Amino acid sequence: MKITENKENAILLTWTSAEATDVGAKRKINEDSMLSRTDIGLWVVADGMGGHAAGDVASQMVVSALSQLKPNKDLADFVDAIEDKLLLVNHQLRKHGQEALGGRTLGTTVISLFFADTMGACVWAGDSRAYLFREGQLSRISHDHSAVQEMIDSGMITQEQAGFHPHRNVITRAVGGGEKLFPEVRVFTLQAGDWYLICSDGLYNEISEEVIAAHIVQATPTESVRVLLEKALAPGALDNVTLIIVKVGEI
Amino acid sequence: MKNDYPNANARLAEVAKSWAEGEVSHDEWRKERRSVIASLLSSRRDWLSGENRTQPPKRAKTINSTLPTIKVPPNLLAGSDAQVSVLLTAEVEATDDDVLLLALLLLVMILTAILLLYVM
Repeated sequence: MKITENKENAILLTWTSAEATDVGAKRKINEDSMLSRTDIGLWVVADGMGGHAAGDVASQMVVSALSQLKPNKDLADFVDAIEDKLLLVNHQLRKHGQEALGGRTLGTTVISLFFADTMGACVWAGDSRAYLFREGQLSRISHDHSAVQEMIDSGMITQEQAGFHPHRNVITRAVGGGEKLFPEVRVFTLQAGDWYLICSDGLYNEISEEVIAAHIVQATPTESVRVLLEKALAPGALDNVTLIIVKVGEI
Repeated sequence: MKNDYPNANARLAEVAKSWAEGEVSHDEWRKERRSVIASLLSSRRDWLSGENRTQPPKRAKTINSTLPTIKVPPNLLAGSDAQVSVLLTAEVEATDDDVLLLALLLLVMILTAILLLYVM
């Protein structure tokens, strides 16, 4: 288990973050990757798929590409830059799969969170999630690109049924998953007292949103990460677990 | 997200969907996205319908008058993401116990078949 903490100031707001990843109790390798660039207000979690030398490579390629982004205070420009990087990695993964892995598909989800002054944006593809805890309520910022989410949206199943559905692991978008990639974007304001969480499905499949809401607020993001990770690993996590927590405060 | 900029985020979701469905180009999606974000940054209030809209999504409806309209239940996996050529499934690992059990069952079935053939 690895937990680190960082701190950076904005014009009126300050944010601190902490992150952790764990292979879980069943998997042999950790295919998740994460990036924490508190200095430029960028955090990323990627959950790779395809097995050894595929899923881990895919998620690391996404994180590596996004780590090269230059600081940018213009939200629209930065969203463009993130999207450009993701589209490029999508192309590279398709090419790598064809040329080096005999046509095998390797892919990864991605969830990214970006802050610029008092606004933020979330760019994602796949079923890794971003949450906001504000004024005692947990709300989801991202909307899963998954088969069960489409069934929920069309009224075929409920959110509760999705947790046990046989196709709950099927995602409909991923970096490297198709010739074309369609990342989505949401925007929001930052407020002092906000707690943001981005995570792979290994976390939210092990602990409910009620548990997340009950334990996300701790003295520090490091403590929040430690508590949530412990709760996710306690039942014997079936998947890799990765999470980043960002706390927004006032200067 | 429920609280912040519901109109702007609904607009972003709508145009992103149109882009994924091939109704608008990537350039149009990007232009509209920049327009929505720029509007939020300049006014600090939610995006209003019709404000700075560069191009409405073209929702082409194909109507075939010779055939009745039949409501087809959504495909299990495709849905609105027809352009995604590969659907990825996170691996589900079978334990060694499961594999051993299946192998034993297969062996019992084969032995039973041989025994029945021998008896008959």
